[in-house]
Amino acid sequence: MTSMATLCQDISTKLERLCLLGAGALLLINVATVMLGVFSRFYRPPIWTTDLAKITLVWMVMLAAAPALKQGEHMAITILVDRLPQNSRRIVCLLRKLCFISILALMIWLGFTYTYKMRLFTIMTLGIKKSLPLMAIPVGMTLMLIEYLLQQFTPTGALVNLSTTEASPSSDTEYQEHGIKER
Amino acid sequence: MAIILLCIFFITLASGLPLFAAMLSTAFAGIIYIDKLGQLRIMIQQFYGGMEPFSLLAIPYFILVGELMSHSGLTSRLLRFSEALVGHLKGGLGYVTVVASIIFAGVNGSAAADASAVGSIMIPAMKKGGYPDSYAAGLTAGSSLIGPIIPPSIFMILFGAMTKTNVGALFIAGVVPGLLLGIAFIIMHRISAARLALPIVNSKFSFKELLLSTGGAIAALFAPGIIVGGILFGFMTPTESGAVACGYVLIMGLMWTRQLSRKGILQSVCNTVRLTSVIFIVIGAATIVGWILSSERLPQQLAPLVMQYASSPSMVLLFISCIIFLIGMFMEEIAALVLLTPVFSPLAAQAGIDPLHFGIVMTLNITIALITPPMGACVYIVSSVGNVPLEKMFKHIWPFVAVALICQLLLIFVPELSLWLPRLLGY
Repeated sequence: MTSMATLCQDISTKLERLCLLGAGALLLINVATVMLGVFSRFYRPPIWTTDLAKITLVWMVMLAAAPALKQGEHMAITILVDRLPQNSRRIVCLLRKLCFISILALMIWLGFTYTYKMRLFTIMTLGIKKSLPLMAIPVGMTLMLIEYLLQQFTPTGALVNLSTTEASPSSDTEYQEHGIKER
Repeated sequence: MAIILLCIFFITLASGLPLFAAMLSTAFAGIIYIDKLGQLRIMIQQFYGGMEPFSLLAIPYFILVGELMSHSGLTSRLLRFSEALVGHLKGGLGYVTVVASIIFAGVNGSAAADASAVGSIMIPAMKKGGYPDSYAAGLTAGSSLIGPIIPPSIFMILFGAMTKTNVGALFIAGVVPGLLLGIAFIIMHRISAARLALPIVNSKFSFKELLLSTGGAIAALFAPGIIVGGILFGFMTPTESGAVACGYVLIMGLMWTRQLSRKGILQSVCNTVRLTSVIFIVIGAATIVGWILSSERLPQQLAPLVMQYASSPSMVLLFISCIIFLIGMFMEEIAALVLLTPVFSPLAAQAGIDPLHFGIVMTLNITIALITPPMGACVYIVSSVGNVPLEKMFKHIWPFVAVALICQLLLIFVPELSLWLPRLLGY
């Protein structure tokens, strides 16, 4: 393994841990916030619990997107591509990579411009700018793009080259505990 | 226009792009097609809006409940209880699988969680007990369909959020159809047990073992009571009941079973956030496509076409079900639900179909897609946890699909099956 590949793998692992740490913490905050809303119902219920729960959910989702991409959990069907002749497959894979990078780049650009436009609005219950929750989308997409690009330089990059061999199990379906991944 | 978008979607999906990226590509193409490039920010608005409804918060909670149950040993206690209850019957392990799925369905909102948790223990046990591996795997996959019908249910939460239908009422409406599905698989297994001459595991019923296993599983059996009871008595919304269930299972794992380690909690949280992320990004992307289809008035264009051929509400439902079944075979289930709900719910309303009835029919329809080739997610899971070749599973899954479809037809033509309980409870 080249030093470049090792470096990319290290960065990728650290990025994954950092994202999972942030997303996990947000999930726990989220559960605690909603439970606080339930149990304080009979005594001065705070008005901000619902909004905080929504914001932490969106941030959690977007932070965990990059680790999910690294683990190959975003459902992709490549059974058809895998049956193509080698030259055709190379072309399709290249187009797929370009398309994926373009879509992420588009969402990053749209996300940041829209977030900037919304900086003037405030969420009344929390007293924060509306751009803070919206920022989750471009940040999450940026992390996904970084993760994807890092994977192109590592030997395990096959995961994120999106080459799952079968129609892999869908979203709410892959139970990591049992290591289920159709590849 | 819808046909063009569908073609773009399937081409991008077939190229191997992740589902959410294929949907975002389709949405971008749709915005270009309807000449609204100046309104590209709608992609972000809709993407965020699709993930934001408070009711959707219940999804990660119910995933976390299932994860924590697996790591805290509550799942194996539920299986022991199921075995004590029905293990003495002929072909007992099959009954244990179905009963365990029914009980597990009351705690976890996902068929996948059910297939994974029950399958990883029951398929090896059934194989060891002399069951044909394809039958053992098929029964597990079939039984996992009960998961999203008996409350809580991820699909119902999604449907409720999208159609502004009361999620609590949907949960209550799912009880009878879920039990009906369970009974159907029990009947099917009874017939198969005689035909395949399946063995009995425990030679006789032991009341002592039943009491012991009930004592062991009491904490797990209490969880559905918290979830459904909290909603029923108006203490909590489905979202809040999910959060409380998380807290309850966490406490039980730490203090009752004492099997939940720090590592187990960490693993549960990591798995939950990744799975939730995958689901929600698909929801966000599908919301954009759904908005494009709605803004192009697809439901309104579809209504006269359907009404022309389907005279009664039941026939409209049957027509919708056929379309959903076909699309569900080739599309990921959550994506199918998010895309098709805005298209078909106005149609159902126009035909005078009760939203609760439509919600249950739609949920069951999407759920059946989880075991239909070539995209049935539960088939892949069961194949993996049970070490059963995929080809073998796809060949032998059809009887289980047929049983589920018979239940679906019953639901379509007898609306009272889903509406009786909610009406009784004043919804």
